[in-house]
Amino acid sequence: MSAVRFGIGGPVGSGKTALVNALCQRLSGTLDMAVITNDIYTREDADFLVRAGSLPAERIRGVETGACPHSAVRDDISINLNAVEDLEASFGALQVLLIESGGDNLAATFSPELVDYTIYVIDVAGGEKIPRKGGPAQTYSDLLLINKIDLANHVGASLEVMEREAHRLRSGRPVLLSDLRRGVGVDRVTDWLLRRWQEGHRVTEPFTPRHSHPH
Amino acid sequence: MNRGPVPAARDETSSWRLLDLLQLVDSGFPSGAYAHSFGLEWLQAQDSFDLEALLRARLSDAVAELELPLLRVAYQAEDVSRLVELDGLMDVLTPVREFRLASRSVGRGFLRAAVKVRPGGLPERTADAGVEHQPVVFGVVVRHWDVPLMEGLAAYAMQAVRQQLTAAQRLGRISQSVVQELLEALKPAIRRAVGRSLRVLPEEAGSFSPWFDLAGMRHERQFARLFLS
Repeated sequence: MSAVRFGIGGPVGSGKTALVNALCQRLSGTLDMAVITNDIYTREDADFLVRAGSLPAERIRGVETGACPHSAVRDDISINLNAVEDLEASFGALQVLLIESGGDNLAATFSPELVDYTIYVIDVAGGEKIPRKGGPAQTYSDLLLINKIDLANHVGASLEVMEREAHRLRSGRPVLLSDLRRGVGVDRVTDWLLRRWQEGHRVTEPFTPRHSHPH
Repeated sequence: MNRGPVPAARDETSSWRLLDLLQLVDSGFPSGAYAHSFGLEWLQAQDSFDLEALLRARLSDAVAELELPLLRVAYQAEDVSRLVELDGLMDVLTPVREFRLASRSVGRGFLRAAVKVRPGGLPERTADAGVEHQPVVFGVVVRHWDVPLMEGLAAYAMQAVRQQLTAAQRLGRISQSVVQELLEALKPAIRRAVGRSLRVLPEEAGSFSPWFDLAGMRHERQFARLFLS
């Protein structure tokens, strides 16, 4: 079986790279993993993960997206597919592939052709009202992570309100809270990811054509 | 108002085949080309930046003398070994690393998408053989999709300049209207590039584009880049 792919999206600075780092630190001893990071202007996130020792450098590919990040993970995923193919050619037996989007707005989602599951990370410091703003990523991601809960008091945000409104928005899809810098909540995200990995790939493209035209 | 003579109708088959070409050159056809400026990101930061002159130079040199001739020969190729040869030729005739990687990356994405839509035949065998350069795979795919050669050549040349104009727009250097005005102004140069390319044999193919080559090399070390090339 090819690697189960997880897309990690969210606004700039919400903690996507911190989550990737935490997941690699927890899981790379038991699972064969690799990471693709998407950045608009630089390879900052890939370089950060290499410095942090998340995974060996050859298992981390940085993609510069040349546009709004959602272009590279949703509209035209070619450069990410190139990176996926290259990693799978280099490390045949990969089990989990984390694909981190560049920081983007609340409209950003992943192509179902690129990933099996999505995690969307928002940030308490971005404001209590973020879950109320909705959008496809907050609503339909497979996991919504509310990060930087340690900052709630400093920015006047109520975690209770954020969590309640996130649940209301998501109709039963899971919501978790974290302070990734101090490792708070990482266990629960790891458990969630392992369960999805055990479930394996998922058919996520419901609208393929019924009939193909002969040429 | 006199609108002039009504254009002669194309035969029905060729009219319908236009749909195939429109699909292949639509900006929504996935190839990852939007991630590349082919040197423009460095060039636009220079005092002497002249977008139209650069695009004319690109058309008359790299496009007419290298990319279109290889596209034409790929279009006419009957077997994969010839395409592997052309891919290798494109590789050695593209000395700048970023341009080589860009052409490979865009070609690979384009071929993957085309084979997914229409599997089988020479395009699929070409992908299996690891052929990736953009002009070579474009030639194979348009042939497989029954696009006439001249239309394939013209579409490739038009797309080459349109990609760079779009890059200039995203870099904030020109407006949407000027993108279209420049495309209009460059049509005669596109036509000349296609015409010239027909007379270039594969063994004569090659370009001399010092400004673009310099840009491609400098771009590699440019800080905070929007584009991959």
